[in-house]
Amino acid sequence: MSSRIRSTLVPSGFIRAALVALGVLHISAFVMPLAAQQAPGVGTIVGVVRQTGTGQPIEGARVTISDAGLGAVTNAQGEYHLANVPARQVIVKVRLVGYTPAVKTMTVAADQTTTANFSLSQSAITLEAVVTTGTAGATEVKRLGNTVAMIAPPKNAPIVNASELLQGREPGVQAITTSGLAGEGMRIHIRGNASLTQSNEPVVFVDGVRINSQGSGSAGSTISRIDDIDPSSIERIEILKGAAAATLYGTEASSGVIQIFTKRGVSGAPKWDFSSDISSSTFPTNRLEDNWGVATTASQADSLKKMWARNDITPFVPFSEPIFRNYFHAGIGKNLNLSVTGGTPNLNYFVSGRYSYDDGAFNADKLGGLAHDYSKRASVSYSLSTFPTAQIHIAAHGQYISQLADRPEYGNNIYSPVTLLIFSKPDIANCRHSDPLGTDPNQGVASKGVCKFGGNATGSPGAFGTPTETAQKQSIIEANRYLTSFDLQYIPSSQFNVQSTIGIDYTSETTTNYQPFGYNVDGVIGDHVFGSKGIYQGNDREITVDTKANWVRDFGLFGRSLSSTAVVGVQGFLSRQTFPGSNGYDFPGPGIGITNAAGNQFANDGVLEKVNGGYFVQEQLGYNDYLFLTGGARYDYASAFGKTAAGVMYPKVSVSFVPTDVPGWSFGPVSSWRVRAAMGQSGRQPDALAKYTTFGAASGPAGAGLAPSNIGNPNLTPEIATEIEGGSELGFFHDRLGFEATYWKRNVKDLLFAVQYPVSGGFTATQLTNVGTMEAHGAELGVKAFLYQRPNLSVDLFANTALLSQKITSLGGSPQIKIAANYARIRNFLKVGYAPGEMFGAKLKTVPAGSLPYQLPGNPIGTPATEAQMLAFLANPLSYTSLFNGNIIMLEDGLNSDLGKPTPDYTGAFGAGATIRRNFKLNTLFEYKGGNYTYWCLICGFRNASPRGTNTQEFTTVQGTLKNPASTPAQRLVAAKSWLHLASLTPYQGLNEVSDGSLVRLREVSLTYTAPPSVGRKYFRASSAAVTINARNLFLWTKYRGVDPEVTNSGRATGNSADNFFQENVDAFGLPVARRIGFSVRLGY
Amino acid sequence: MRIPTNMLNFRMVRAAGTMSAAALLLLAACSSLLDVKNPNSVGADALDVPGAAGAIINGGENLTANALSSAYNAAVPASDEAYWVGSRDDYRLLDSGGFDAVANEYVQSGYIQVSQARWMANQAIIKIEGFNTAGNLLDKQLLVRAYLNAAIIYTLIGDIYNNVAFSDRTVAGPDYGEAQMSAVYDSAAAWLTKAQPLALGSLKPAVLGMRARVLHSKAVWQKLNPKGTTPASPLVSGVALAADATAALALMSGDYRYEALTTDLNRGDGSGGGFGFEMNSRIEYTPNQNLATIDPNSGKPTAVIATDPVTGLVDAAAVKQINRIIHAANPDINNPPMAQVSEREMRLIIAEDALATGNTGGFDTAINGLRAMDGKAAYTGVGPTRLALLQWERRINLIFQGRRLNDMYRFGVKDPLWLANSVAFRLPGCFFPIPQIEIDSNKLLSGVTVCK
Repeated sequence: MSSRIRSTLVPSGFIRAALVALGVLHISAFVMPLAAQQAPGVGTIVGVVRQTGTGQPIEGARVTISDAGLGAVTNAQGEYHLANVPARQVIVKVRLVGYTPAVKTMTVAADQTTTANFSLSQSAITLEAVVTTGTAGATEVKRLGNTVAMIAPPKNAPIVNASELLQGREPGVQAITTSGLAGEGMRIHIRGNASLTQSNEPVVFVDGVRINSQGSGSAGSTISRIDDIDPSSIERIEILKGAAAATLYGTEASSGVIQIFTKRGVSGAPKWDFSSDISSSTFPTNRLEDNWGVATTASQADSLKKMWARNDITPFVPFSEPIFRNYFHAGIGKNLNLSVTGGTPNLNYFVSGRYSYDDGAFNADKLGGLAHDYSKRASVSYSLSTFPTAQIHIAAHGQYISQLADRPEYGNNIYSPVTLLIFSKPDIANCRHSDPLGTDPNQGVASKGVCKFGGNATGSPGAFGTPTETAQKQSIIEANRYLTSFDLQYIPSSQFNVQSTIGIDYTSETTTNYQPFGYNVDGVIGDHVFGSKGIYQGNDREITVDTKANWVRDFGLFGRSLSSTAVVGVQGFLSRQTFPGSNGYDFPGPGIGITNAAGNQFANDGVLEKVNGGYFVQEQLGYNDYLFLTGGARYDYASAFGKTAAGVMYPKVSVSFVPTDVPGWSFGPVSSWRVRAAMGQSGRQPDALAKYTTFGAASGPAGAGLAPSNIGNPNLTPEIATEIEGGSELGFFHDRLGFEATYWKRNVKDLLFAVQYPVSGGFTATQLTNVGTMEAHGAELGVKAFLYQRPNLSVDLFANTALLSQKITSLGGSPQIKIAANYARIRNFLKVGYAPGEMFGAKLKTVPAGSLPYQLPGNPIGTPATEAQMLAFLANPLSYTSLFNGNIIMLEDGLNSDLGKPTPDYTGAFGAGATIRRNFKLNTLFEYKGGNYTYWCLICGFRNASPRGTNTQEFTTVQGTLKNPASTPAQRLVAAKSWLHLASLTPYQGLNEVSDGSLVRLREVSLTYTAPPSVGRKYFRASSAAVTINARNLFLWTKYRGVDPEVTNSGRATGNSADNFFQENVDAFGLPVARRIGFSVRLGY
Repeated sequence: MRIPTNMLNFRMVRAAGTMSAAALLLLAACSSLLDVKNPNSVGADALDVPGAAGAIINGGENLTANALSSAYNAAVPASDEAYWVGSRDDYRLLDSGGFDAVANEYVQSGYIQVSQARWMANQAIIKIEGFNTAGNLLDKQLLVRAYLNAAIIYTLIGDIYNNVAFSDRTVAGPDYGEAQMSAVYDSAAAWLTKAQPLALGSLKPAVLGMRARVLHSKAVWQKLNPKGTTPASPLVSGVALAADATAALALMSGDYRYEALTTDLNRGDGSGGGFGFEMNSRIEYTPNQNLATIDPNSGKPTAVIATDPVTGLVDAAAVKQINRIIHAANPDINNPPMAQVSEREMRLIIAEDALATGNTGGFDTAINGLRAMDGKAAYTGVGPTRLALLQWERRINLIFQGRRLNDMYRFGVKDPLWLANSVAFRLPGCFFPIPQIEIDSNKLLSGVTVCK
């Protein structure tokens, strides 16, 4: 069946991708001949853009003649070519993020080629950079009172998806790796949590169109829809970190805004770029403990000797087998990119295609089931721009993505082979299923750790299944996605323009969960053993309509130069999702696997429509080009509040002052200095139906029925985040050394909290209610230095940090909420006075020296046992459960002790770059965080303390010592002391379950050799050639007791809920983040 | 190329005009745009439509089945019917007799589902009685089902909770208090009395039989309260309950059962998939090893071995009753039926009433009638005592029906897995508490519990 699913699901998407690619290339083929045409009365400008100091050519710099609508991008040699330049005086500008812009005025003669070379200085401060996000029009950074972070994709970094582009590059922006499963999605957070119940993820736009940036899940594994965006197609990313900057985006923007701008075409002959990389992923096996066991009888030891083909197993002596580790291998990743750009002055294009394949480091195939561990995407993107007249600019952008993720069941899931391998106990491994009569002298064992026909060969903890059986469960996410936008810009003058954008993002996603008839090959698993299948469709359509007008004026007043930029606009987002699906179980026999063959069949359906939109206006006044004041507001409507509800107003104001631009002012080595402040509001709206009292389906054998659903709250409004921020940038020594500091403070009022009304009232679900407030503040600090810049050596350094403090200040008298209310192990709470998600649980009682916190039977309540009493208690062999059951372990404050918070106090990154002997570039990026705690006992509880899966060396030593008749009471006392550091789970939830989650990780390292042009031409016939070796997540330094503190229980989970957001620090049977070592080749033509 | 100022102004005005027109169009469309269609649920007023009567009743019954499955999910491992073999450690508390933990996820989940079913059951009676009064109820059996469903959920509440609160939507309601909990049986009996003259067909024995059950449960509750001691005289009797049981039995045949049923659509909750799924599929707990042999690898029962105390042979009733739930021959049973009224239970009630009143002949007749249903040899007074036989037959014939804890308490049976310091061991009669989620959200709770 698996091959059938693959054959029907996989190729179709990729064939469609290929067809679209052919279609787009056909367009480019049509456009290309136009590039050769040269209009009369025009000339050409060519040149090279180099870096000041090193003389290195700069690739990717944008060279523009704005009043002629011309632009070009430099190639790997720094060369550019501008054809069809009007024969007149023109102003040529060169810009690139991270460099000080350069401008030259040129006179072009007809039919002549003019040369204009540029030298750009790397700049630690980018006040002159132009940004678009949040301003309703392009403007210089220095005019804004708020921060707009810019990320330019690094050329040779080990980045295979869009989320990785965001990781470690901007203080306060966290892209949280969730695990080492192939294709697993990341979570994105900006400045902590701006909501308790609504999305804490920023809204994401691609080329002005709001996209589906949600996560998708299947059987515990997840993916991120942000990763559909081809990272090689991204020109730059702009990030608004909070309400102060994102006001004009209105409702939904309080967790920040990410604007992704894809690459544009540049006129000229076609330029091709090809890159290929291959990488290998491995898990950090040095941080993984083997699976340990201990035999407690001689006959058990004898059986285990056969099972594990070893003679050194004796009763009460722990032994280990690398059971989990046996299923690791070197995963292979491959990425291919091909792009072409070119065109005429009036029509240009950029087309790119990408194929990406990631085979994870978990060797699911070795289990011989249907489950794999790979993820792949194919995508095609294009950008077409045309200028039918000097006043009209029309552009169309689009992407088609086909995606397939085929992974095992995963996460906190007893049917995940990963879970079952982690808590397999070698001491209970057996092949009895291969020897049901007990007559085989080999007891059904075929070879070390392998059964003849089936059995519990890994020592999986019985009840749930074996890794082999659960590997028969297939979990597939397949998606086809079209993202298109259409821009129309009318520019009657350089002072006034109107711009409209209409875009659609449509994602059709199918999740398939399948297990074949009779997959219980080891006779253990009990879950629908006659097979089952579920097919769940998710169709998401997001429409963006956006129109705005800009009016720019410069004028004098009282002898001073004033400028005014006014923007008015209207924006709407229409979202519609449908969820048809079917599932069934009990197939009539092996080989059939369609839901309509199942003995029990179910269908499901759902529709969710949301609309929100608003109007905005903004005025920016400039005084002598060094003082800028901006004020604006947005008025928003949302369908969540009904068609008759009034809208909500979000105001903003900001000021920016650049002392170093004041004529006559000088500050010694200070080359740039700006101070700024901003205040703004933004919001979050509840889901579509939260306002209404509703009854939903309650179907079953009694027939189609109704049941209480939403309580409803007619007074719902958006929660409002008000944020102020202030800061400064300082550049020294011609901006070769730069500092940036921002302090921000956020207050969320009308906080939407999931109020739990008495469940005895019948409506048992929580109801969103505007009852709370939450405060947060923090600082973001950055330093960048270009220390040394010479042709043969340049060195630059950077470091940044973000500090965060946040707490819930009011819940309006509502009771605290426990995250995952019905799952006792999760210890995160939403509680007044604490950070959201703070953990509470058991802490060991502090007792006097010479005592142990055991409440022995017979001792007065609250009196700890003395060592002498313990020795007496431990006089005879006993099980560890004697030191566990019945509240024998003494706690400080029941389950109410504060165990720490999930969100870090500080996060940041540092690194260095160096260019050596012109052709070699070395880059490193370290990421760190601290002050956060990770709950890891969904693993440790089993491995250390549960009857199911206890398999650590320390536990087996304790168990062996306590049970061994040959142990002395003193030895058992040592074991009893060790046990205090292992005991966890009910009735001691929280005890020993939380660990310091701080870490430092070498996130990226790369070494690139860029061949001289002659070498590229000689060996590849290419105009440029570069090879890179790189690595991602190579080293980890942490005090974390588990394997990897970045692993999260819920991955890039779907939906909005507190349960979703505040389980991010829960490490639950996830695969550790993989080390990826790669090699790439990049060629330009 | 420069554009003349007047032309520029004209173009600006035109552009601004176009934009304004577009904005106005959007404004005009706004109210309809904001009027989104999300047909996944209906408003509260839908329950006022007589045509919705069937959906209201069906919803209530499906919720009750879910509630029963969730409540049994806590009660079954708490008793000696099953023991924990899985991974979810809150079962450990139940298995070891720690019923008093208000944060136990299974106790809490059961309470949540029961609360929802209780509210819906009350709502159904209000709505259907309203339709009936207005002359809009075409099928009176819907009203019978509403009464019967409410009686079932109220009886469950009385049987396995120490205390309960009844609230209405967002309006908190006070708790009954441990001493007043028998009132839930009174409500159940009153509804069944209303239903009796209306009931037709298979609902007729169900209503009568349920009323016998209600009266029996109330009598057991009175034996166990105040909590904390094993009753010296555990048997219950009563003219009314015996009469109802006898009348109901007269209408029953063919191993009659009125069952609550689930499918994958209406079982399970935030903590588990209902007792059938948790025991048979996930295998968190498994039948007592005195009742069935258990595969040490999988935790699954392989064969029923429960022995009839009269004959010493494998008990045919046990084989039949246990296999209805765990179905050893069919490992894929997640939704076992949950009998609420049965011919077997009527015979047991009649037998107990006879025994309690010293009518050993009546007991023998009733119990042998039950034994004959499975072809078991008649009891002649030889072998186990009549009290022991009654206990055994109740244990086997009512297995996995949420009755066992009450029987253990009143007959003084302690699960060997209960720890000596556990509430179950120390305080007979203690069942499940009002859980944390209700304690946190209901400021009107005032009950003082003895079960801690």
